[in-house]
Amino acid sequence: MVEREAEPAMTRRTFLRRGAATAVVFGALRTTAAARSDEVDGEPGSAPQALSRRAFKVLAAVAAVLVGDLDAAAAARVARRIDAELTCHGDWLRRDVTDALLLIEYLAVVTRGRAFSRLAAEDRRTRLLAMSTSRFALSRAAFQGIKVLVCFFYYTCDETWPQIGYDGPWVARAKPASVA
Amino acid sequence: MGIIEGNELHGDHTETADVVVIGSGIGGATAAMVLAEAGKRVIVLEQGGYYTGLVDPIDPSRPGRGTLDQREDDMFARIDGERGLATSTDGRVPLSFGRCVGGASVHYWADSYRAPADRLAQWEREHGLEGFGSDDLAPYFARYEADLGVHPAPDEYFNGCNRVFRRGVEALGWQGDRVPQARRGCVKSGYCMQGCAYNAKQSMLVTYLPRAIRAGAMVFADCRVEAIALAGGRACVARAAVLNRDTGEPTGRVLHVKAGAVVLAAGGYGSAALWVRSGLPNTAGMVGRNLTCNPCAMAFGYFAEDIVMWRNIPAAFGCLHWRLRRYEGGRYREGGYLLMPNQLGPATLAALLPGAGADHRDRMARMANLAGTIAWIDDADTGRLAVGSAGRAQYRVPIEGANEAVLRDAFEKCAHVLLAAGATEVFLADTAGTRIRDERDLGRIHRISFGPGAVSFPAPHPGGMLRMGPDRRSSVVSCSGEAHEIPGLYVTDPSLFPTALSVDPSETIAAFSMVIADGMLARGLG
Ligand SMILES: Cc1cc2nc3c(=O)[nH]c(=O)nc-3n(C[C@H](O)[C@H](O)[C@H](O)COP(=O)(O)OP(=O)(O)OC[C@H]3O[C@@H](n4cnc5c(N)ncnc54)[C@H](O)[C@@H]3O)c2cc1C
Repeated sequence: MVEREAEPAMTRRTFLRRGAATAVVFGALRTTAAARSDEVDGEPGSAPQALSRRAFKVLAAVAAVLVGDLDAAAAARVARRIDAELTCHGDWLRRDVTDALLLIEYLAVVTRGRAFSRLAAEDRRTRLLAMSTSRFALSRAAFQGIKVLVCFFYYTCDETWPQIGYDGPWVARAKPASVA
Repeated sequence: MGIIEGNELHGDHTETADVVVIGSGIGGATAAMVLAEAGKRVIVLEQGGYYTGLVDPIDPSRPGRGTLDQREDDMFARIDGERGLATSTDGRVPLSFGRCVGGASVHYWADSYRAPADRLAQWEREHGLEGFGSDDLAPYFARYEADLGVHPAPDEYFNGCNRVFRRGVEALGWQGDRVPQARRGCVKSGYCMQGCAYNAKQSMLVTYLPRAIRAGAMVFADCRVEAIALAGGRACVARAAVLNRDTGEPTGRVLHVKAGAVVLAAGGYGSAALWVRSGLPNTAGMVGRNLTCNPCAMAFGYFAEDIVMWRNIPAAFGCLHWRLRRYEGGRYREGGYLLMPNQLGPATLAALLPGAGADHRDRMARMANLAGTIAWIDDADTGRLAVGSAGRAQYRVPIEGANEAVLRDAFEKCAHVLLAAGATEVFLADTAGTRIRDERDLGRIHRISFGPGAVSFPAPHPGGMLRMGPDRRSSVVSCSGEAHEIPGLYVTDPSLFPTALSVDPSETIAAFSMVIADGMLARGLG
């Protein structure tokens, strides 16, 4: 007979492996902080396309410390590129990225007493490093998933290349529209 | 002509052919070429887009589109499956595969090995394969090597990374050799993984697909096969959704291809998933099991000398010394992987390097002095596929158990080569950036966490989920390549390999595809 599921019990791919307890804590933290400011630093007025404004704000805060000290506008540019990338994927990736960002944001409430995006730059960096080597897989996975995106998109910007000695492509950039 | 793109298909279409080939990678393009050159009417359906470099690969008198533009962001988006962001179920294994006309050969490194005689003998002995021994395949390998200009990498292909790698391997007394390369007129730009803009790397885009097209084959880009349909139990129709290339979403237009035979070559991750989505028979329950994908270990080292990893070719010199697993008293001791120099563009490197903030920035600033090593393991344990209710494929790749032991040893050897080559600082590509100061530190590798978020193990060589063999209880396709339960359906990609191959697979995929296509012709396609 035809079998649709080769292994039906398998969980979906995810940055995060969420247990029920995590989901409860996470949900509570999310609600508590919901009244906080939603504004995006850097480039006011331009709404993110895939992420919520809150998730976008956390993303920009992470970007600002992850690759060195970026000013708010540069961090928002990286976040905007990631946001644009997420529009090209299924909903599952947007949800995973959002969950990872909100975990970063609200875990800081537990450990530092303030949401991640409200911490000073040095505290943010310390917080991220702590997550990167945490004994909790969930923390490490959230950090690593966001880090991959931030570092990748930051270093695909031409302006970053002189600082790392990369002389760039040998051919002209094609039109972004892929059917040329 | 010969390539029809999604935006040229304005309504629903029905085409007829002798053979419809699903997927335009090495497995599909090779079969398409053999069948088309034998006079068969062949249609190739490819879900990805059509991208070219400076010169048109089909008519070299015309300029190309310049859409192989060497930028990591653009090219992951254009030529890689899920725009380079696919992972295994638990996120630990990034899944690397092609999604464009030419498939993964457009981003491959062009390392071209024949299947090792010991592995082919094992497949014959333990899995009952017939007609795929070393002697059987030798003429096919020779043909592929001649067609793609395969030659041992000369000195001029050695960048800094290859030089230090060779130095390290030789200092350790391990066996190493020049890697056979499928290239013609390589300009050493270093953008193999972004798709060669110069048509120098011999991918399917510039070799077998143009030949198939010149022989009359038609390639439909942006056409994702949603189902293979049967009539009277025989595979005879492929139904494809025409995609909008910019969004990846279906346009609502449909292409039906009716054919005397269907060749399934949607790749090691894709073919079994399409089988399950199509609801094809799977009586023995073997479809989607037995996934092998060569998960990789990586290490990095800084050197006093200039390395400039991102120029010239990825792997001119390789180490096959540890290809086979070694056991002592019945227990695994070491080995079971291919060890190579690594090549990564700056953005991909940045995503993998450990650290955050100033530390990460400092590592990137010293990128010109950074060399990398990579080892793809010969899977000791296998994974499996699940297709969810929305049709989304997920792949579980086991890192624990037998694979873990091999991966830990692979990390150790990756670091050891760099130490032996005189690196001033060696570290692993784990999140913690584990430092290996000297040989005494190598033991630390056996204690690092392999849990989610701690290390990634990219997997570039999928296969095994539609295994070949004579016994329909333990395999999916017969030794003719035809599905045991579905007359007229042939598989010509590494999904049919009974185990991992222990070397890079492209040449073996092509050889199997040629044998199967020749067999189809000999039997009048049936
Ligand atoms: C970074 C990297 C470097 C590599 N370097 C080497 C190397 O140096 N040497 C080597 O031997 N191997 C190398 N490999 C592996 C090698 O490239 C692949 O194993 C090989 O190209 C796979 O060929 P294939 O035909 O099986 O699949 P693919 O090339 O993946 O082709 C399958 C095609 O089918 C299409 N497809 C899938 N589903 C559908 C559908 N439903 N409808 C229509 N089309 C569909 C896909 O878009 C894809 O284009 C490398 C792989 C990677 C990721």
